[in-house]
Amino acid sequence: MKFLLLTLTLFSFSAFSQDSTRVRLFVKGGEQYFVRIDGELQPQTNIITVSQGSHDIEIWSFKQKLFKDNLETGKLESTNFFAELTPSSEYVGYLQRTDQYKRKLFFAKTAPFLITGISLAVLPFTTMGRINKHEELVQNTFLNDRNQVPDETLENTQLQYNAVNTLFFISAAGALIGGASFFLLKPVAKKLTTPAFKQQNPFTLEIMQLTYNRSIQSPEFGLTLHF
Amino acid sequence: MKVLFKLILSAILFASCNQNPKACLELEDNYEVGREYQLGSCSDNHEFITWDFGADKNGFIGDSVPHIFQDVGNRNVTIEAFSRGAYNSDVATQQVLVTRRKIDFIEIVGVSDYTRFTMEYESGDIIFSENTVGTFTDESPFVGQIWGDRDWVLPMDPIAISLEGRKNSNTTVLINKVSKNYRYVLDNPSVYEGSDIVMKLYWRFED
Repeated sequence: MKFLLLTLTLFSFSAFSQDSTRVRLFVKGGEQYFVRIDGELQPQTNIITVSQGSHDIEIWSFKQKLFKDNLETGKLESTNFFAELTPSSEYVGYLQRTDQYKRKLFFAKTAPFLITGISLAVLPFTTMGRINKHEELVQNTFLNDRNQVPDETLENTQLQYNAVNTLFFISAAGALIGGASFFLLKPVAKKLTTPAFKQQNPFTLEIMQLTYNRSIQSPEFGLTLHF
Repeated sequence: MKVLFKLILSAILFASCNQNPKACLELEDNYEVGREYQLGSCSDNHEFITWDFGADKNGFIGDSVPHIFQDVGNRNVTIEAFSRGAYNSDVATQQVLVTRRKIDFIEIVGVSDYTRFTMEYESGDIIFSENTVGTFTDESPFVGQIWGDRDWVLPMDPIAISLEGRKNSNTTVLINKVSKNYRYVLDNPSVYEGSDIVMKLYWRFED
């Protein structure tokens, strides 16, 4: 009799265990995702156990669209579920606004600053080069007029002077135009609004925010919790 | 950015402080042909100076330059003083006479009972036979005129000069072949000393 009871108990356990299915989730498109099955939030793991049968599954990750599907386990003890999350249209819009913002910021602030800085750094060297080469050119012209320096030497000096002269004017123009642009475009750069992307977790109702930090020139993540 | 702006402004101000050069020449009126001179200028605020010597085609660059005038005549010496970078310059010109040195006259100091003095040099001799006897002092020397009588140009090579005194038919060497290189001797008078007698040779530039 005891043996019969033990056998029945074991059978009933095995019958219970075969009513559930271990589901391994493969989610593409989100680093950290939230899963809700039949309206119930699941622990943050990629292996979940559900009862055998059909379930409504929802997967959400920050920046992505809410993924909704039907999870059909059949009579399987374990199965895999594949989901591919796609970026939300708001996030795509945010990325476009960020690109536009970065471009505008580059032309209104970074480019003039870089042009001015590089030009000013180079300007002393081009100025000295121009001064020295012009002295050499004047001296060689004087000596060439008296047949004390060959024509080739004078031509060579003239070419060298033309080269350093061009570099001088480029660096001087760069410093002037860059500097003027920097000051003229300063109000434009100030007026630029940093793009932001806000999305509410549909499961936990917490608000996640992505903004662009212009001083470090990279996105900044923020989280607002609701209790 | 304000610091950057101040730096630019300071650089512009510093660059504009560069003063204009002033060319200046204070040369002698006469220069001897064939002699090497070191010529300098009294220019201000310059980085370098170019020198042009007119008919002598070669030019020089420097504050102080060596030059040998090749031909006799008037020459325009022109300098141009250039600022740093040679973007500004100033010109100064001075006319100089390039000429030769000729012996003007000689003086002899000492006691003489000679009836004539003979001054000998490589290419000839000059004889003085008037008023040669007497006691000649610095204040009252024997003077022998050469300019006008002889065209004796001082050479640029060493020259040995002797002085002889003649009494009756006897000749006494008073100064024996003293050699001097007038390329380097500029003393006026040029003094030749014998044992009992001193001869002073005076020169002047040819007009």
